[in-house]
Amino acid sequence: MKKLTKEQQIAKKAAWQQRLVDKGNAVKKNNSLCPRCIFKEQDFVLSSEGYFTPCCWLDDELYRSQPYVNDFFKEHLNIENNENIQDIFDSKEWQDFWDILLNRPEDAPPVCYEYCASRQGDKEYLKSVGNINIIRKH
Amino acid sequence: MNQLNQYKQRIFKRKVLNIENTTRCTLLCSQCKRTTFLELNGSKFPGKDLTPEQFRKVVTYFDDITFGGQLSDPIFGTHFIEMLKICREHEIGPRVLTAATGKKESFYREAFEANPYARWTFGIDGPPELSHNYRKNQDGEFLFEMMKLAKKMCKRTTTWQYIIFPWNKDHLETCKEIAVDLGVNMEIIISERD
Repeated sequence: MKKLTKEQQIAKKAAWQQRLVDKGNAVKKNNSLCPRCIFKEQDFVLSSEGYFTPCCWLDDELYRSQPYVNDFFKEHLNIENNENIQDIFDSKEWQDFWDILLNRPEDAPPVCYEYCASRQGDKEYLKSVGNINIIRKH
Repeated sequence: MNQLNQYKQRIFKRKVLNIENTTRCTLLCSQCKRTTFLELNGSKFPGKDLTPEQFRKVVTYFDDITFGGQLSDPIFGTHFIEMLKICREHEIGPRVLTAATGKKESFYREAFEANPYARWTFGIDGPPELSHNYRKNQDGEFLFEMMKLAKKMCKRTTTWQYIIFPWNKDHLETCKEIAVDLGVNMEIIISERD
């Protein structure tokens, strides 16, 4: 692993984040959204910081600069601050996010298009024979 | 009822929750989010080990649990074995995705006994002696033995996850035969990660 100076880290992170925004937006041009957190069996995530996200991609810090993504990491949504998990999912932040995905998909963050613009999602089962499964991960 | 309300009614109890129960891992796999994070931040990870109290909140809410660290390996969670026991209390056989090494065989025995219904997946890319080519710092041969032990001690499916790389693709057929002989499932991954 390369050791970068603080300035290099900041520059590289910003460039990486922009690349991801561009990637998602490029997909958005020619595809519609099919969010697997709603329509498919997509695991929710609980991070070691104590926050839930609808998928593992939204948990990635490289996407937190994208619209709405940082909303999942507000203090009052931390598991520490909630006795009842349902309260977190009933929060304005979560409900707004579902509303965007379902009713205003054009406003969804680019990361959603990057991973959920295709019905086959991020992985496809190519072949299953007996106990051997071959999977392509995108 | 509109689609959003329908979804609200589904609630998420039937969902699977993927838990990052710790921040630790001994590996430095080049395509892992952890390695990227370290390169771009040069600092240790935010967060801490999930506590049994926090875990009890989620285990009573979700139907199924995956210990599949995105930035860490679940075996290093301070309360991992207790969480396996809590899952068993709630009749959950969680998925455990692991690739790191650094724990002793006695730890794995304790974990397998804690919840024999857990479904373990071991990330060993290629023949065990070559797996560290990608899984930096991994003792692939030790982990392979732990996979065999899981198969012996656990009551549900044990899986060998094998990411294909140029340096291990020629060993795939042999490893498939080994998986069949051992009676473990094999998940062969063709990765397109950048």
